[in-house]
Amino acid sequence: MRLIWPIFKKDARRLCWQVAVTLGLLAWVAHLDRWRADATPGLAEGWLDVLLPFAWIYLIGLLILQDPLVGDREFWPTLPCRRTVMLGAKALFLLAFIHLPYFLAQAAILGARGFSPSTYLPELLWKQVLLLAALTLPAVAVATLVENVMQFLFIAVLTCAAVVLMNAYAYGAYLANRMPVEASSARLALLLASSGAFAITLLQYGWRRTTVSRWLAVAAAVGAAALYVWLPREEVAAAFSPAPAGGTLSVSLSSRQGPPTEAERRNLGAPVSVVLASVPIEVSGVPSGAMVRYSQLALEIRAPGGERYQAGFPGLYNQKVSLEAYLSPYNSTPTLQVLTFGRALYGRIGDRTVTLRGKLIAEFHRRGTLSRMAVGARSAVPGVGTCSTIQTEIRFGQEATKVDCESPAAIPNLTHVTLLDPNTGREWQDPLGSAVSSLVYPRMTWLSPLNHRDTFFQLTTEERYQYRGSRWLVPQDVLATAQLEIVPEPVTGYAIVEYELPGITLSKYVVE
Amino acid sequence: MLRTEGLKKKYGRVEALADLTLDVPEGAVFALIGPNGAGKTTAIKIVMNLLRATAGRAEVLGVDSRKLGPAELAQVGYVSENRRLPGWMSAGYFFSYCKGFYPAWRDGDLAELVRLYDLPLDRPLKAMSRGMRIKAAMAAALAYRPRLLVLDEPFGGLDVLVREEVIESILERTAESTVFLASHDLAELESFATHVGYLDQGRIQFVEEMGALSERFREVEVVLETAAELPPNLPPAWLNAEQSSLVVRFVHSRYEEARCAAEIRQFLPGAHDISARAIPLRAIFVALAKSAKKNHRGS
Repeated sequence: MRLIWPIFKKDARRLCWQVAVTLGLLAWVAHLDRWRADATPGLAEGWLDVLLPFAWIYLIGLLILQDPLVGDREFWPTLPCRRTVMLGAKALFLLAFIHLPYFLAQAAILGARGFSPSTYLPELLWKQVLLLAALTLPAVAVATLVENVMQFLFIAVLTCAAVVLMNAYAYGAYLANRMPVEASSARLALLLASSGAFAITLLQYGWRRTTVSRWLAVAAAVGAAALYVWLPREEVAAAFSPAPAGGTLSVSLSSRQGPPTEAERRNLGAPVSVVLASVPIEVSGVPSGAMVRYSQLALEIRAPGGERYQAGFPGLYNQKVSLEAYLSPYNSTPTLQVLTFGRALYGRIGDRTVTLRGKLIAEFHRRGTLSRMAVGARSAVPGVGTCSTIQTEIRFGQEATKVDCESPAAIPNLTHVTLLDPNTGREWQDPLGSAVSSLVYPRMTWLSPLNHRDTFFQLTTEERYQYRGSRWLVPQDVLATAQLEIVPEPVTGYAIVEYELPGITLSKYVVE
Repeated sequence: MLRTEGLKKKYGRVEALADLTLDVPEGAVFALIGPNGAGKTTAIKIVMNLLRATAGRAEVLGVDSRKLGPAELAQVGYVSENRRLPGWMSAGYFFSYCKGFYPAWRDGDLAELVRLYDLPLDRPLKAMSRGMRIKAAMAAALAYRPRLLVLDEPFGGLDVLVREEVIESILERTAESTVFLASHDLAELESFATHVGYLDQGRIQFVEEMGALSERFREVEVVLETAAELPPNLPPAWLNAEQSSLVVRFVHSRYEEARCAAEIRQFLPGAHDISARAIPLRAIFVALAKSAKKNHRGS
């Protein structure tokens, strides 16, 4: 063990400049993060959140390849030192120059933003685990499998490109489903990838079994990618956190006949080129008082001749589909199974009696504590974090009040924010995270110890307010006395429900 | 001290080493010689656990080479011309880094070697010539007086004078050690090797003590009474037989004065003047290599 220190010193001496660069980048990103009161990062921070991990990956590659494990011409394998000692020296370096500085930077950011690092120690340690699993271990594993830095960088770039593509694919699927669920499949994929990386590192430092390790790396990478892309995340979420009453939900055809009500019609919409049909349904088994959101996962139409038509979900890559299906309304118990058909498809099956087989996910919530705060104040909101409001310009000179909530812990996806005018009783509602800005640079802030979610209330003068209506625009002079009400609705579980609606003649349900 | 048993190494379909069995006795200076691609470096790398053998086993200091640990490696010095040294290190830092790994390290020996090899301590290894780098590696390997010194082409890039110095320094510091080396520099080997193994196409052709080898190989010159063609089936021990008018020359690889005269007369009936002279290791190697090449072509 006494040999760990000289090897560590040797590596530190050799890589002092590279270490200085990564520490500089970390200090820069921490400085920007410390002053950010927004869910989206600025240009510099957005790019730094990509650049710093790359710098770390490069540093890890250089570190491991100071004493490569592949090749038969290397100097160090004939030194009288156990390979575990070498691994220990490398681990000490990673701890000293990547993980510890990252931990300290995160703790400093939390402290500066009014969160006690000791209170949020579990969150800080969880971030360390994530960094270890997502970056350090995979980079170390790859570096133990290659002969030189060029090979390492090639694989690192290829892997990062694959991750970006997979994310884009998964984001497309997310857009299609509209309702985000817990990313359990991403965690499973990460667990598989990091376990593979750990095993490879041990295999290489323990026995230098390069061929076996390379096959293991390929298997772990393919397995993780498959889990991430193809594992149905809703089913995984339901398996990991089942709703207590989820098993009793069922969907059936409603006895109510006739066209949708006026209220229902407001939620329907389709271009004139398609045919819209709405089938009244009833969801039963929902516990009284339960707060549930629903989202369609799949729908198939079975025609009498045996033909089957699957509904598609428009995502990033399939904007045009001939059959779409969704439930309406989606944020309370649905009363309609909505279908939109391409005219050709409708022409084939519109007058026939078909069976609809569907699958939906129900997301159960509980209502958190309601918190009130004055506009312009910064205040702790139980179950959310710390929220503050600032006046900001959104675009073309339009002003808005932004409500930004931040917390080292996860902020519930569904958190309602209501801006209340006590003088008139009028109110404007918007959930956190409802606005997504379009950016031309990376928006991920995965290095930050803080989760941010925000929403905007667009401000207007009295005249415009009168003219445009009150749903979105908030009169500027209301702000002086306005109150904010914030209510988190954390998820308590999920349920997957499969249902069948037989004997449907689609033409009866067409909405004109 | 060092043994191999049925050592095999295959790269795909290419057999780099086939059934190599060696036994290097303690205190020997064992030279493994052979043409390029014979498998010498492969054998050494397996012995040093840098390569995994396809079959067979090697034993170093009584331990399976695949299980060489710090205790054994602290007693083994390894110098190879194609070993990648940490080029960014200055020679001085390189020595101080290595020192931490070897409990038997002697600063006095190192200082002497640095002076002898004329090594600039402040120069990075990558800025040194190949010869200088080998000298630096040699100094680091000799500074702890290893029980076993394994050298792979240790004299490449060294000029004649420096070779002498290096050999001298090796002999001085390995009086009680065993040396196992692969080299092309046969003239140098002859002066200090005690055993020779000849490797060709991955197969060991012979292993012999140096003295016995010198005794066994003779360049034989036979003068014939009348010009006659060489018979096609000469004894296999006659290597590279050539005829020039009445004179036949060949290298006899199993020379025994008493027996060989009769043998020569049997195959060359008109022989009337037979002379045999000892030849240096280099000539032996050339004869063996030429003969092997001829045989490969024939087959």
